[in-house]
Order: sequence, then C-alpha cells, then structure tokens
Amino acid sequence: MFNENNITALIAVFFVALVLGFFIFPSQPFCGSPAGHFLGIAGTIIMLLTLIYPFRKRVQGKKGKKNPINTHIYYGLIGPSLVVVHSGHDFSSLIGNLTFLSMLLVVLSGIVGKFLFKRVNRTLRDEKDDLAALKRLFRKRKDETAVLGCRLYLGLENAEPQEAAAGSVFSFQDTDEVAEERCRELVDIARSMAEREHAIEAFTATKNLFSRWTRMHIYLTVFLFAMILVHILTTVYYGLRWI
Amino acid sequence: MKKIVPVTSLLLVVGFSVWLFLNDKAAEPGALSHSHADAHDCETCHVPWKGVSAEMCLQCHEFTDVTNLSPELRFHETEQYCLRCHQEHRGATAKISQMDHTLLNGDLLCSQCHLDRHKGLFGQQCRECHGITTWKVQGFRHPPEDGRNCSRCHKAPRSHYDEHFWGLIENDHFQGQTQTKPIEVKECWLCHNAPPHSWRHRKMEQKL
Repeated sequence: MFNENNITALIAVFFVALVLGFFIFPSQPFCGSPAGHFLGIAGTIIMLLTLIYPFRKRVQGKKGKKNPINTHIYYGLIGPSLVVVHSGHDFSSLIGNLTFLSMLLVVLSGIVGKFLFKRVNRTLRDEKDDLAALKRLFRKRKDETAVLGCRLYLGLENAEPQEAAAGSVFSFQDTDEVAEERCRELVDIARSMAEREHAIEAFTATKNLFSRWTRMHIYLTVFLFAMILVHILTTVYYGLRWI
Repeated sequence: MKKIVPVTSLLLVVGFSVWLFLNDKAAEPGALSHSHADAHDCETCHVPWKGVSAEMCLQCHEFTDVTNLSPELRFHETEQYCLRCHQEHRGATAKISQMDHTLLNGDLLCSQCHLDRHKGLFGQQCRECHGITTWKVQGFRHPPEDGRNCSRCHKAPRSHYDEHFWGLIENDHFQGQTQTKPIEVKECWLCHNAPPHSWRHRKMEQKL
C-alpha cells in the first residue's frame, strides 16, 4: 500500500492541508515560542538536506539510480510542512511573508515538476522506442521492396522518371498483388513513423520547457535560502523571544 | 555570455537580501500598540543581537515608588519580568498585557486586584478554590458538613418567616424537647443536612 508514489502523494496532501489550515487557525505568538522556533529550525535543517540531491547530481555527476530523487522530494515536503506550522499561520513581517511565499513556490514547482515532468519523460521514451522499432521494420521492408517503383506504382509522389528508372527493380509490367501489398505496407509504416516523429517533436519541446521549469525551481530555491538567511539574521539581531 | 543571467540573478538576490536586512520595517512582525507607537526606531527597545530586556523597558517605565500607583499595579515594584506579561507587535489596538500569575509574590491577596464577586462570603483564601493559571473552578465544593455559616450564602425561604409555619415547626418537630432558647431562622443545621447529604429535612422525625 505505502509505495513511494503513495507516500509522496500523502505528504503532498498533508502539506496542502497545512496551507489551508494557515487561513483557518491564525496564531501570532506561536512562531516566536520555543516550540515554534524548534519547528522552524528543524524544518530549515530538513530543507537544507534537499541540497544533497543537486550537489550529487551537478557537482559529483551522479545521476539516475546512483542519486535517487525520492529523498529530495521527502525532505522537500516534510521540511516545509514543519515550517508552515512554525509560521503559526501568521502573515506579519515582509521578510516572513517573502520566505513563506518563496518556500511555497519552490515546493509547488517541485511537485508540478515531479508529477508532470516524469509523465512527459516516460511518454517521450515510449515514443522513441516505438519509432526505433518502426524504423527497423521500415528498413527491412525497404530492402524487400523497390521504393522508387512503389512511388510510381502508387502514384504518391511526383517521382522523376529517371529516379524511377535508376532505382526500380520492378516495372509496371512486373507488379502483382504481393508487390502492391508490400508497397502499401511500406507507406503505412512511413506514415506511422511520421506521426511518431511529430509526437516526439512535441514532447521534446515540452521537455525543453520543463528544463526551463527546473531552472526556475533552482532560482526560486536560491531566493528561498537567501530569504531564510535574512529571516534568521533579523530574528537573532532583534532578539530571540525565548532566550 | 551564458553565465550572465545566473550571475545577475544572484547579485540581485544578494542585493535585495542586504536591503531587506537593513530595512527595519521589513522585519517588523506586526504594528506596535498605541502606547509605544511613538518609538523612534527598533533600537529604542531592541539591543542589536540581544533583543528586548526588562532594563530597556525600565528606561521609560519606573517602579521604584509604587505608592502613587493603583493597588492592582503595585506588585510591579518587585516583579521585573516585563516580557513575560507584556508583548508588543500585536497590532495598534491589541492588548499587550497578558497576566502571568505564577510570577506573583505569594503574599499578595487576590482581592487587591480582583473584585470579589462573592462579596466576602467565601473569605480571602481564593486559592482554595481558584487556580493560578486558570480562574475556572473545577466543580462546586461545599463547605464541610459541620459548617455553621449556611446563612452566608443561603437565604431562608419566605415561609420560614411566617409565624404559623414556624409555630408548626416548633410544635411538631421539637415535641417533648425543652427549648432553652428560641430557634433562629439562620440555624439551618438544626433541621437541614449539609452536602454531601441531601438538603431535605432528614433530621426531622416527620415532615410538615
């Protein structure tokens, strides 16, 4: 029951519920209390752990199974959930609001990236596999059939007579039902390949869009950690209430 | 060329962060109350990297001579934990005082600050029934069974002042007994039980 996808979805639901609770249970003094600070510190440490994934990926060059993204997602949901509780459901200071808002955007961009990007990536891989299989079949059929002859025979293209004469192994006189069937099959395969290529183009464009999305996720993360730093510094500068 | 966007973005973020840190208003967690609205800047109350302390409060609020203060404020003379009860930045109209009775001197009488809703009937030892963290009483607790002060709280019904009714009581319920002095209405315990027993006329041999 609790496979990785379910747990991720559960944590996502928990996070959304907390955000909703933000508007229902306002409690101003909580964030500055010992318990509130503890949750804020714990949440920040857990959020810092999310940086392990990009460090391993971009600095150490570890990708795929060597650097699974699941832990990044768990830290990226549990940490912010604690921070939401730490915030005490209170919109007060500009720095606090910016920190919270950027955290929300980072998490939401991460959730969207996780679910949509994974789907696009998977579909793109499937389409590429299909295209490769079709290409193999096309090459096989092409070796068995005279393409130029087919073009003339089926009247599909404006084939030049000299092309037909150069490449053709069978003429109008040689055609029979088997040759016609092979020619039509070749055309069908070519059409399927064209459709796949079109789909791959579309999915590749979407994937490129998502690479920009990932970049945005990274920029937002940089902004978030800058805001967290300012938030911590101002909190210490003006004095921790519980000391 | 490729690094222009990330480097520029990073510089912008750093610049914005520094501006936020230096901007007092950006860190303000809520408006000050009317009483402190004239504070010039954050450092009026906050010591950088240390925060607010009772010493900062006492620069303006003085409690060395409390004789001029109203009785309910005089305990401030000995109490110096301002921040335990007073918290700011809760909005202009917010109440910034939230009393923490656990900080108070045990010798203080509750009636010095609180109006006695029992009108003195229950005495001065409020803490026998009321807690310090909550004023709510955990259920009613009646004085002991052998208590003789019923009339402090209970009033006899009008019937008990009726001569005919009173005559019946004396004749029927104290038959054969010599009454050395006349029974008074406030001597409830002569006929009535006190809790935990029923208030009914259990002590009487027969009911009226």
